[in-house]
Amino acid sequence: MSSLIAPVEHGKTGGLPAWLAHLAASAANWPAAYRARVQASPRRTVLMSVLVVLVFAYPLLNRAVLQPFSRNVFPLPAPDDTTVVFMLIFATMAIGLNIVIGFAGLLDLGYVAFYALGAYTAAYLASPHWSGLSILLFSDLPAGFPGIHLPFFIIFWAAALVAAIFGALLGAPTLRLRGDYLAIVTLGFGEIVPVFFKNLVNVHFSFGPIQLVNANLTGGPLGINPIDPPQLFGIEFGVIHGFNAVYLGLAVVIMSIVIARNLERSRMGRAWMAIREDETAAEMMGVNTVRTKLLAFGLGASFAGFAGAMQASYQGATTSDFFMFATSILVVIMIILGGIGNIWGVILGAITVQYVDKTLLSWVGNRLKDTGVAIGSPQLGEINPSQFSFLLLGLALVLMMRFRPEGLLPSRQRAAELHAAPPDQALGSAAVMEIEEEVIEEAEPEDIDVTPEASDAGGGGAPPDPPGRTGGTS
Amino acid sequence: MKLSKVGALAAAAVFVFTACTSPGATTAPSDGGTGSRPDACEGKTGTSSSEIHVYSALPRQGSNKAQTDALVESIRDALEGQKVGDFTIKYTDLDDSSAAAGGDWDGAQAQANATTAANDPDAMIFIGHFNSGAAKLTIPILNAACLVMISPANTYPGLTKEVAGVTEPGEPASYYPEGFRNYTRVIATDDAQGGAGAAWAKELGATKAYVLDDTQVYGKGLARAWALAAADLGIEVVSAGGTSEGFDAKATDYAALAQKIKDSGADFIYIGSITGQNTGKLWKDLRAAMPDISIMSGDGVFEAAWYEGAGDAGNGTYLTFGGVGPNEQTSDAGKKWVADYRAAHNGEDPPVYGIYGAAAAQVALDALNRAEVKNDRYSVLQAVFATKDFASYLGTMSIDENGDNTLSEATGYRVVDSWPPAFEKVLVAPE
Amino acid sequence: MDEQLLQTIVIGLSNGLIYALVALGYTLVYGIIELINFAHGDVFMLGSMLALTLLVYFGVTTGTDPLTAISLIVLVLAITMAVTATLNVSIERVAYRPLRHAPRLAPLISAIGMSFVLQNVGLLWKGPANIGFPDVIPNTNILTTVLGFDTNVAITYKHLFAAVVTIPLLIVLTWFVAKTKQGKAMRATAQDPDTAGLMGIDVNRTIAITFIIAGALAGAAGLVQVLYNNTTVWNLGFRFGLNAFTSAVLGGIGNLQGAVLGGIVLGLINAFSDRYLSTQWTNAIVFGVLIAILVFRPTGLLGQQLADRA
Repeated sequence: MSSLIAPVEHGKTGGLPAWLAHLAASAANWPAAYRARVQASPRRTVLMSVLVVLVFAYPLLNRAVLQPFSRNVFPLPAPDDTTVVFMLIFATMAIGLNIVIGFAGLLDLGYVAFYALGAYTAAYLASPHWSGLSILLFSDLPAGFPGIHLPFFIIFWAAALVAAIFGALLGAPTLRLRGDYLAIVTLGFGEIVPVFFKNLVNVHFSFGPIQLVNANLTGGPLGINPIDPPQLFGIEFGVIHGFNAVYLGLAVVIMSIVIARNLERSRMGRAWMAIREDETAAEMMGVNTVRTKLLAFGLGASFAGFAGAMQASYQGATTSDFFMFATSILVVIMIILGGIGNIWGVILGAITVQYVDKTLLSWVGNRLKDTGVAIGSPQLGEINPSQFSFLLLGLALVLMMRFRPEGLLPSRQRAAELHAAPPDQALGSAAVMEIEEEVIEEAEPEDIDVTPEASDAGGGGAPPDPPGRTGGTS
Repeated sequence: MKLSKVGALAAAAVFVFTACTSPGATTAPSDGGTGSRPDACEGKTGTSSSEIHVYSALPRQGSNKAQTDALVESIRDALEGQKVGDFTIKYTDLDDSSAAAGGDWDGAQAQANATTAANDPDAMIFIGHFNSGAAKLTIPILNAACLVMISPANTYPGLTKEVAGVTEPGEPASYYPEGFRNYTRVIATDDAQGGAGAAWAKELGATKAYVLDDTQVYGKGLARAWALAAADLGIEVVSAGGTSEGFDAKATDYAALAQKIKDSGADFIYIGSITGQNTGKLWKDLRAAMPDISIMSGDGVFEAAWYEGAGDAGNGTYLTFGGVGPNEQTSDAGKKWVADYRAAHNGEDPPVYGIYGAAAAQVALDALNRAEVKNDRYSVLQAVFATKDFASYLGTMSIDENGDNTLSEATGYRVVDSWPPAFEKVLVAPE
Repeated sequence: MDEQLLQTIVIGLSNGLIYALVALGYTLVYGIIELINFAHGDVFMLGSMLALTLLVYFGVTTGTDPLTAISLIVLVLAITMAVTATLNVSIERVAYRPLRHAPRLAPLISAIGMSFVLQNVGLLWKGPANIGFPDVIPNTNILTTVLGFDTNVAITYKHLFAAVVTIPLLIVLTWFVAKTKQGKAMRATAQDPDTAGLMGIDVNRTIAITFIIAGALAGAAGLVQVLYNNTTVWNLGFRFGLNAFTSAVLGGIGNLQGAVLGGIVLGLINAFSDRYLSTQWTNAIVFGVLIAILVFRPTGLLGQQLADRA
């Protein structure tokens, strides 16, 4: 059985211990699986391993080598902990939006709404905001401390749940809409949600037993602040401990990858792709389109919930200003740039876009300034490349659509579709035929989900699967 | 269900890494305030024997760029390459805005700036931020890093003190997890400016006021402070809920809003906003519907870009400034600074916040000169808080124990058919 | 009727006509290639910037002699329309035409990218703040000064201007699409580009002409916007675009009369929300109404007309 919902359900129903046990069992089996994987495809595996080690070592490397070097010798464009954490937060969102757009083909231009919902859920459950209450759980705060203070592993899932519910709620009335209308409705939703968070500050409301007088529901433009930092086993993962937070972020991204890959290969994942290709045909083949689309919206949104919970607890504050239309578009740009439909691609997209926007452009700007001062023409420093970042991203979108619509790291299936000429122009081109065959080939073994070769085909040009997906079969 | 081994590896790695880098991460707040060195300041001493680093974090793109260009220039001129004791100051200009935030301040970017400075052992002073929202996010980080902040532009009172009806419960203590203060500012707070503005409005004969804000931290804070003070002075506030009402900066026009205000019978409008929030259009539509009504606003629109946007509709507007505007500087140092700026910029007037950047840098330099150990963060922090009767560009000022300055003057201006506006009077907030 | 209510209706109607002017451009393009041309709002924004720059350059300002002002405005109109039409058709050529046979998502994303590029061009050109323009069309109340009514309701020259520009334009456009040969080609292409091609219609040319018309319309709307609202700013395209696009969808996208009806309805909703509720909730209400209408009438108030291949 290629079970899809398992990881999600475990979380929601509190089967976390079972999941951890499974993780531990898999970990125990790890060396053997890894050896098998090395034998199967040595180059890829080694490359992937090096990458994994590099990613994990980055914060240490940055602290021990890159930062001192930047300060004392020459500034390097090395992202710091906060930027890395945001790369990971956006990677989580890209993975989620990829489910909605990449897998199911539903264009969502208001994804930021779910990010906001996740962040505010986390904020409500771990801050002194509801100062009339005092609900503490696994907290070392003194009894009677104002506000609700739940532990991170609860608010994390609560944020995802709230985002998922709203995702499905938004999905429900829009199911009848065609692609473009859906884009507009989601865009509208993305605009409305922050408006609510921004304006529900002096609320006067009375309906039956509910009486609100000058109620501050959302903190208005000030937002909610402070929010408890994530804490697990007495270790803090907030912004003050950015180093730890990078590892928490990595754990969240890895978990997201695991869930998304399981979803992709599940029955549901194939149903999504079927409606993406042709909704009518899918429906004819017995795909329940209503349920399938709602699940795409809901599950996709839940990743933004994860990201929101990370944002709020990491930064220790959240305000409606963080959730703008530009953020929605940024995530769309990430998945397009990286390779829509391919999990590894969208992660690459998220990291690249964040890196360029947050680190590289300002680094270039500072070097221009230095150079300007050095060569005696400070006007050079007036050029602020950061200002051009949306111009560059916009251009990148246009150029990508024109020349490489499948993205940097494409999903093989997507690439095939995007490059396949329409029937009236195809003229039976051999290349196209070849690719199409591959698509068919790939689709079949996927159903059975046993051989590692099959999963390789699914990963396409992407790095290989994490080792040992099926344990002993190889 | 099949789970990735990488997942397991990751989970294991997280615990291993964090366990070995962060033993017992939660620190209890130290008692602070008694002069004893807080725990957070232990070992926060520079490693370089020749350099001290000063950072600024300001929005370097988007609508605030003109202001922050002047700020950064003032800071650079005052600090870069200066000698304090055996050390040379190296100044770094960080950007707390991002394209993702539409060129405005970005929380993540502000925090990244703060961590950059916190992780640099030679960083001794952090000048920033421009937006109070950004300061809210970084004060705790720099508090834990024992790094003193000097803000040239934050006016939200809750960062340093409690003001009934304006600040949130728990402020400002919530920003200082380590139990000691590390944030100072050289600009007056909203409650001072709002109160002074309301008193002026009363003098001008306002009886019924409609209060608008741009739904941002600064605009809403200022407008609420004005509304509270106005109500105390007996001006009837007719906007929704007896406090300020938000306007949507993304709206295409405000004709219907103007109509609403007209119908409310208000004889005075107060607007708390920054220029970039569609203020040009707002003024135009208000004026079109009510050619003779008095409009007052704060220093968020005190700039040429606002007047360019509003055009003739801006004429007659009363503007308050939370401090002494650059052209009304009474101190010799202040006058000289303005004259120098004009000389260096083809006779152009300095943008309003420019002199605050210069003053922040002045306070920083003075504190570094006075600090016992110049490359010790706690020593520098104490020196900044010990600023007393210092002859700054803004006048003689001291920093109090909250980190606020003792200059509580505000000034009032009126736009008379051209920019810059004419100086009217020095305002005093009602007690 | 209550004077306050009447005044709100006047404001709503007149703003609605301005939205409609921009909405027509969206609807024309959508009608023919089923693409939400996100960049349209930004072409409109650049049009308004160009118009403002030219008007200032020619010295048109408050109190310019009406005849001179009108002739200069007509000149500016011609230049602006020519420039935005060229811009729009170039965008089509570069960003959309190569994607004609790609999945539907591709041109849409290309349009979003284009929109960001144009916005940033506007930002770099004129900076981040609003740029004001003086009242050339007076804000004088026609009802009291010209017609001699004793009323507090104001219908100004500007309100009149909005009606005088938009209504004839709509009539001309409708006539063009319904009666001319080129209009017939457009309708045919909208219905089925392949068959239209087989019938001897040059599909690419027809689409290009549609973009030229839409671009010229955006330029005209830009000028009207400057004269009507006396301001422009780099994100004007986004502000207006959302309203205009919503108008088009409300009315039934692809349907010219629908766009105007949608614009008017939206203008009224905006004005009533601003007047009786609060501007900060207006956007939420507009989108709430949009979602509700799409749920109950997925093809908008008047239904899709030009494009009818669901």
